[in-house]
Amino acid sequence: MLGRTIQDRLLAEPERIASRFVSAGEELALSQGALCGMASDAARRLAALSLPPRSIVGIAQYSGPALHAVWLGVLWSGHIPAMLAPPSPRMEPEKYASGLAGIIDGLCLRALFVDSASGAGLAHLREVTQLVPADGLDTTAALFAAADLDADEIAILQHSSGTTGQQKAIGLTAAEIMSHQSAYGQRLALSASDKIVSWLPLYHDMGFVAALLQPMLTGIELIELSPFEWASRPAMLFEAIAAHRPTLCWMPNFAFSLLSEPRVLRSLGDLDLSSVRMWINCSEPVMAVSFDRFVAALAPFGVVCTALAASYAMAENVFAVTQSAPGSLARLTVDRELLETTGRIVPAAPSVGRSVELVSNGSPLSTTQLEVRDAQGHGLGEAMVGEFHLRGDHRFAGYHGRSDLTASAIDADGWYATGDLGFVMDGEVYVTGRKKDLLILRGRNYLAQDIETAIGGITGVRPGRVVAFSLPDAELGTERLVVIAEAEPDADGGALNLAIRQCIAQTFDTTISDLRIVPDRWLVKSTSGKLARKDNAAKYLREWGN
Amino acid sequence: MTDDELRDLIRGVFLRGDDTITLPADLDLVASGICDSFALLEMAMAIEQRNGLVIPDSDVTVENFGSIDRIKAYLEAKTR
Repeated sequence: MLGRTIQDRLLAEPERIASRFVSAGEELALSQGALCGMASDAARRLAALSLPPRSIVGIAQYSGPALHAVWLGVLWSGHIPAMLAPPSPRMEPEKYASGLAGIIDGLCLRALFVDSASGAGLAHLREVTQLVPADGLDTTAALFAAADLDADEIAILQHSSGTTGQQKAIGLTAAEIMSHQSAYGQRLALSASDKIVSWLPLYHDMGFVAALLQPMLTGIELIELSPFEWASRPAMLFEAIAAHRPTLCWMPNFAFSLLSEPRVLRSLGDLDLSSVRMWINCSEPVMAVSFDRFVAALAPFGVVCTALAASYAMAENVFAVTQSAPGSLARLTVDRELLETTGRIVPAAPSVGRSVELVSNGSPLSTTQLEVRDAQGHGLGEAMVGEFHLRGDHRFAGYHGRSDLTASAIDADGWYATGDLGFVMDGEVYVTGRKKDLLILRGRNYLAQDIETAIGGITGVRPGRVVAFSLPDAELGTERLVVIAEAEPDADGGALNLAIRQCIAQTFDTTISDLRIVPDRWLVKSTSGKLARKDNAAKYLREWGN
Repeated sequence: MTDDELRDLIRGVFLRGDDTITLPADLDLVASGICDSFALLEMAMAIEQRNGLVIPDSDVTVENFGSIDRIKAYLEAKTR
């Protein structure tokens, strides 16, 4: 159903531009016909392997036309595509390859598409899966008829980002994907005149849905920038907007802060950014200050506050749980102390330190029900903080191959416990925190435990005596990673500091904001004898401030 | 700028002033987790302010700013 629907749509207008790829100052426009050709070539390369039907096929490629084509080709060949992160330049190749080997094993990947750049150094994985080259796909290849797929069969796998630790893959059916798109498109008031611009990686659910699935399903043109190039020159997003006049742009909160920095803006000249009708903030907590700075800095270029939007989303619901409607983003100033100590939401006048301004994520999609529950599972009314539970037409069926995790996440009535905390006010959904020890750094999710385990293995660190947590950073518009590690008495603090930073950069492709090497017994234990992240974060703040 | 001036700047911008870490001149600042590629822009800005230079964004790459040695070479070429 999914592959066939996309194929029929592409074939109806082969000359139409599907996507434009901007890289190294050059632009490549890919027509729907050429995309069909490349996807057909990829599907044939896979068919030649004679894999069992409905095999899971990994895709670990850098951004560009071939990534779109391969994903589609896997779908057309009747197999299940799973987007995976390609190696980041700073990750240690061995660590990346070993993480990938773990995913291959965990998901039973029968084949893995790689391009010449992403596949360099992965040849030894041939022992555990079939490596399929994604280079040189033929834009004129004869059509490969898309396999028929039942609407309720798993069509794709969404893999949690990161390459270490507990892997959770989410299987989504064609029916779930189509239902989500229909409701999401309606909320966004999508039309044929829309265009999407994106620098997001496609292995992350926001990039995958906003900048791959959505254009494929609707025919909305995409202007895609390489995530790596964008990271080194963020202003390229603005140049692409001025050149192509897109209307929709999804980004995590940190990008709103980054793009407001004077160093990014100084070379903009008189670019016109007014074509973007919705700047959608998603994938990490939305900060009012980031939005305010963004509009203040970019107003001269045509950005208006009514174009700001937000969404609370997760792969477990295909993507969006909520989305603010165009031109309507609610904000609420509340009493900070009551929020933090009692979980009660009491509107307050703005007051430095005593109030906090929260930004709504909009209301739930028409296809999704959301309930706020207390720790005992009782439903809460409006203006009370609790855990979000959700169910609906496109809530995922479960974690692939992990019925144990599924059983603990989805109850008998079909409610999925998200682990996120927040409240509803006047029908608007506000996210205030989370139960789980999840760190969201620049839109990417990490488990605190994974980071602690990796550091615990470094010589000179006292085994098991590490805590990792994140603190919100209004300047950066994201959370910053703090690590506290107890050192062995004879350890060289400076060398250990560098070894820990290096381990985190090369294993997780993220950066520690503050690392404290502390003496024996500095870290606080809970009554059960475990290191308590919350208590240690409080001690850190007392000792060193935010 | 001298090696030590650059070290002080890196410690100030990325390491909250922590001077326990020795920073060899050839240390790859991004791969070693001292900073990430977003932060190179921040460092370039600090170098600009200190030296009264204008560094085009397109010059702010790991090749030019990825280590103390590379920053020195870039600045020398720039001011030559």
